[in-house]
Amino acid sequence: MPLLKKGVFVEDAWIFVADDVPIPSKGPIVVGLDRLEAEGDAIAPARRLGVRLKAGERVERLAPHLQRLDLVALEFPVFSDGRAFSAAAMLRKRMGFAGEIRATGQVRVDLHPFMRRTGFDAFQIEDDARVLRSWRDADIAVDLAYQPDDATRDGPLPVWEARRRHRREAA
Amino acid sequence: MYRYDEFDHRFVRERTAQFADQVRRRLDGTLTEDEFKPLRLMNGLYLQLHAYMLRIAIPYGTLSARQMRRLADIAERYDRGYGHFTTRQNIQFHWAQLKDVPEILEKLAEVEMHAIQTSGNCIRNVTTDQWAGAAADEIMDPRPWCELLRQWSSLHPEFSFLPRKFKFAVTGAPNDRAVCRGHDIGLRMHTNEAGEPGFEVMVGGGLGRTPMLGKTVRDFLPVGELLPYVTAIMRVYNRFGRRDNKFKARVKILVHDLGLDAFKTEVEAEYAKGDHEHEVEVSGDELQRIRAYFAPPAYEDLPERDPEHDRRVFQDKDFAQWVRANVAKHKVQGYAIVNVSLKPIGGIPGDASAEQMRAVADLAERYGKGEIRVTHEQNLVLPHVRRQDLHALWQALERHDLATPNLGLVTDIIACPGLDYCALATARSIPVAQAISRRFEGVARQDEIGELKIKISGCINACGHHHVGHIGILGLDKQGKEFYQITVGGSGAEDAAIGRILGPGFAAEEVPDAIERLVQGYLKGRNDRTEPFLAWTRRVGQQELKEALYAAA
Ligand code: SF4
Repeated sequence: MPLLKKGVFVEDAWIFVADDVPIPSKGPIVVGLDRLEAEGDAIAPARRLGVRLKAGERVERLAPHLQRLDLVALEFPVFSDGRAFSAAAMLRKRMGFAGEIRATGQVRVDLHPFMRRTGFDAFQIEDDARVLRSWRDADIAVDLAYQPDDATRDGPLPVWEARRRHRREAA
Repeated sequence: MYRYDEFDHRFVRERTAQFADQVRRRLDGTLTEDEFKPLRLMNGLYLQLHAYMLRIAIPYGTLSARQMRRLADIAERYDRGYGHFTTRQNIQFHWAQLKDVPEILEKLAEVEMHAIQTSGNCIRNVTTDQWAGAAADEIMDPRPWCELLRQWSSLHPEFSFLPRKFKFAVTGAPNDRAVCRGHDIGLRMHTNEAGEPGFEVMVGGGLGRTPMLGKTVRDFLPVGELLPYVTAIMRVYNRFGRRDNKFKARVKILVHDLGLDAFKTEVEAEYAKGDHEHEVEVSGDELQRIRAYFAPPAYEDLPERDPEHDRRVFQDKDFAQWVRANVAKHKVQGYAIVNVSLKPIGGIPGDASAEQMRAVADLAERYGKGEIRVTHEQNLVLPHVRRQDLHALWQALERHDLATPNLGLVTDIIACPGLDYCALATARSIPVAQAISRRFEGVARQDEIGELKIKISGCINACGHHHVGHIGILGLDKQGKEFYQITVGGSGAEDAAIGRILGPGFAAEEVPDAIERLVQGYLKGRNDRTEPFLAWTRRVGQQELKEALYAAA
């Protein structure tokens, strides 16, 4: 599936390992949460490891494993299911996770501003001509937000912060 | 009133351009209707029975004269010369053309208006007391907090794809005119023993097919903690609210399923993490900035009584009736709150013509400091009118059929659009409202009956708030025929209650008689004139109510 990072499509080296498939002997892998908890310790510490979270799974369960993780994939089972936004925001801000947060599932361009602002930095996009085109077409967007964007720190300047600066300059 | 600064303007302009682009992609076929649907819904655009309906946000129901004129222009140019004010203190245009929508939104943006978040599973337009800043019983002005919530909730990164829509209401007065317990979050301002300002936080109210009253999760939340605390509530809801069944997805179901205590524990545990502050921190100076917009207008020093006004009340009984019904006490001596009824006898509740909108705008400028409010009961308000101007204002309103003296009376009926417009409806509501209104036309009789709030919905979604009507009417479909269930004893005020069903429903043409019988039962059964209809329904037993409603003709 096409993978978008920092605005460009990149090669995806990660192997998403289904729960009922043996873990391949090499390469960076992404496993399910249950498997991470059950077999995580058995995976060589040097190996790059990621986990995928279903929308209903509590992100708190990752706490004991975060040091070990390079990637967390959060699922949008349908595009209107916004649970992953909370998970991403908590991962970044509360749990201090600095690795890749990848959006998977129904990853639609119209969600992109919300995803970016809650901390997603990788987008796995459906290999569908129309969906891909929409990502390319989406050059008009809202780049101003009221809420601080400290999840990623590269987002738009929040309105409240802009006002504060404005006032400081005026003073 | 709040005025946009350059940032608010830019925000809305960007959003308008973005949606204009989406409409363009829909019109040229790049977007299918399926793909377009969630996008248009984020911009208040619904596809209804006959046409698109555009719902425009009127934040906490406050409009300037200039904005009202712009709505009149839009009604004339893009609709059929009408607009429909709703129970969300919004306005809807029912006959919009898709191709015109970007242009309409541009015209709205020019006067600091938009349609963002008037639909979809996000935080909707915040509503409040229509008399905010003017009411004699107000403890604190809720509007700065409403504005803060508006900004905070606009395209919120985490809370724009909730399990279901989410509604806030705020009141700053003990008499709740904002139906706080009927909202997902209701906030009632009050002070603690130390005299500090805070909110009672109520969660899980909502009407719809499973009506529930909001439950208090915090008796007193210091005002400064508002945004972090509601962030915690929203996060709990976003994570754990049901998404498998849209009829069980509102926060009321989560509160109910978990139980109030477990829900509170979740919220408090989330809040205790204490890391919500910097996400939504609002420095004191930002709140100060917002507050400045809501500074009281320049009032004159006026005597409490105006002899000329008193004389006219004495001489002109029509004027006196209007004053009695439609004028409310202002917090400043010599001023009054004027309620402009959008419920003429036999009319469509909440509809206003372009000409009426312009008239109200002119009168607001002339007599009311340029400010207009929209009420959830689908009327308008001029919040700051000098007592001495009441008579001239009344005469002018009369000329535009805007002086029906029926506020809070039996013909001041709330009705949703129902089957005449709404794709979800199971029955019509407007004609039922019209028939009841005609039945109780006489002013003296309405006065005799006193306060009686009838609310009508055209399906179980309850946009007409029927559950909290003193008399609620719900239109259903029974084997292809419209059929109306009547509830009694509901209230949306501080004594909030869900109305009870008394027995079988009625055909459309039987409804006015049924209401008539209830009213007769009340008039006969009340202790005296000081016992209002609602109090009567609460005092007497189910049996007596039933006998009244189903009495043989
Ligand atoms: S209550 Fe039903 S019929 Fe009335 S506006 Fe709402 S959805 Fe439509």
